[in-house]
Amino acid sequence: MLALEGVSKAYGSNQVLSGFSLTAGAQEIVCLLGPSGCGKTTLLNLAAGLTSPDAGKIVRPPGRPGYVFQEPRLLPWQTAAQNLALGLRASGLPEGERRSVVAEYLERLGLAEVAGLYPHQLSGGMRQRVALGRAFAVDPAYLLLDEPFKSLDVGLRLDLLRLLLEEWQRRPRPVLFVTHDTAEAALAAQRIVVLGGQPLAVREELALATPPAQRRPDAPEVHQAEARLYALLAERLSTD
Amino acid sequence: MDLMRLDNTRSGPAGAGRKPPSRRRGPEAGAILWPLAGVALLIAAWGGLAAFYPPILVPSPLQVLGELGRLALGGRLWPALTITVARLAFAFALGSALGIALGLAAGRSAVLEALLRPGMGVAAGVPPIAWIALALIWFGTGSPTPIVVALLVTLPVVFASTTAGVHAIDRDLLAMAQVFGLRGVALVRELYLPALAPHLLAGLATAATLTVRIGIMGEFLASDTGVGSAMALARTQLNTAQVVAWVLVALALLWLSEGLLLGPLARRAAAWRTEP
Repeated sequence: MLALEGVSKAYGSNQVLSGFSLTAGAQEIVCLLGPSGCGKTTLLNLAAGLTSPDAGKIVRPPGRPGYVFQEPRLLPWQTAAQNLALGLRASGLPEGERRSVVAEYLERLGLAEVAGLYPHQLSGGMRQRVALGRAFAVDPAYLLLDEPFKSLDVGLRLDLLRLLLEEWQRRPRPVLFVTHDTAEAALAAQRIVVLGGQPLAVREELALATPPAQRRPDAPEVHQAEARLYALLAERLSTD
Repeated sequence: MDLMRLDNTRSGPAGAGRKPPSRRRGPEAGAILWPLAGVALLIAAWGGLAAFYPPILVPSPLQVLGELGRLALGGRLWPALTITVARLAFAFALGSALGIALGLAAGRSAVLEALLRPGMGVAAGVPPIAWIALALIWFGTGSPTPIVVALLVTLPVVFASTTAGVHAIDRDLLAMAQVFGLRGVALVRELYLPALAPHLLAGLATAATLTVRIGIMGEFLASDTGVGSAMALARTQLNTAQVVAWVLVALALLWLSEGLLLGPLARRAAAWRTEP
């Protein structure tokens, strides 16, 4: 289980969080929606341990996080394969095992052909695949996704979402998935949390019954969730 | 001097075969041809000057070459060169290592940077000739004086370029490295050094030039051995051709440091950029 319990965080006089709580169960994908700049990235950074809270407690499953940022954040001087292996090198995995894990993820993410290329030689979608692979490869105890498919076109976005769900299906774990895309949330999440306000508060929660891997884009449940989210977000826009 | 252009434009045949043929010369041919033409121009100008002035003021290129040959055959060139190279290499290696280590530490700690900056400012700001005068008092004539002076001049240059490089490193990449557990030596090797390379190589190139210039000046004024000291001796004997011959030796040292050390380093650091 991944949990933020009564967490407070301020930047200067800007109180982003005050006694905020959020939980993702041991096998739960939680999507976070909310207006830009409301503090969603701060939530992920707190969960990852990149920032420490002013008050409150963060409970993490034992092990490393896998973090996929808005931008790929690849090392420009390393090849796709080297970038993908970064977390494995950091954890000191022996080279033989590292090779086989890297080969597996290059294959699974459709990167085998470009393994030896540098980030500037890859397309935006390819770069984000490498970033996904880097996060998956460390066999993370929990996954943090910060609008990872934001700058990609719809087809690519669905492709990568499918890869993400496949990976999660193989090894379910807590996932915090920040997105602005209502369709993405309705497809991927078991629970959708709509956030807003300052300090940040949970405005609404939506649970979806069908397991994400079995969900189809045209299922009524997905449509209903999407419509509800759309209405909520539109309403927020008019009242916030 | 060549040392100042450690860019990646000369490295590797990037895209050489893909560009449509044009009337302009390719980068490879131009990279060799134009510098050679520049050197020829310099020698021609020197020869022209030498024709108008007596050899004691401006010796001709041929006279200098003859003097260089005599130094080499007479067994004076190699001992002087060996000791100078040893001193300068030592000063450069120590100055660079200290500059990089302190620069990395200061780049990551504002307190340490604030503590070190005044000292580096003094090392860089005091005229080299004053350091020579002081070192002469402290160490007398011998190897320590040129070494210490060259060290004092290179250290702040490498330090400044390293801290500037650390400040320029992408914070997002550092956060990524932290999340994925990259620490210590691995963090320096995989992230800091490659990210610093452009800053660092520019700093090292300046430091190498300074090491040769200031180190030989130190030998000239405060040593009985080495290229600088031999130059001083030739001057007292009014052997201008030999003074210039030693100058050529000093220039050769700079070219060697670029060709054997900094050039290959720069090409290696920039290899990923030149991939099409």
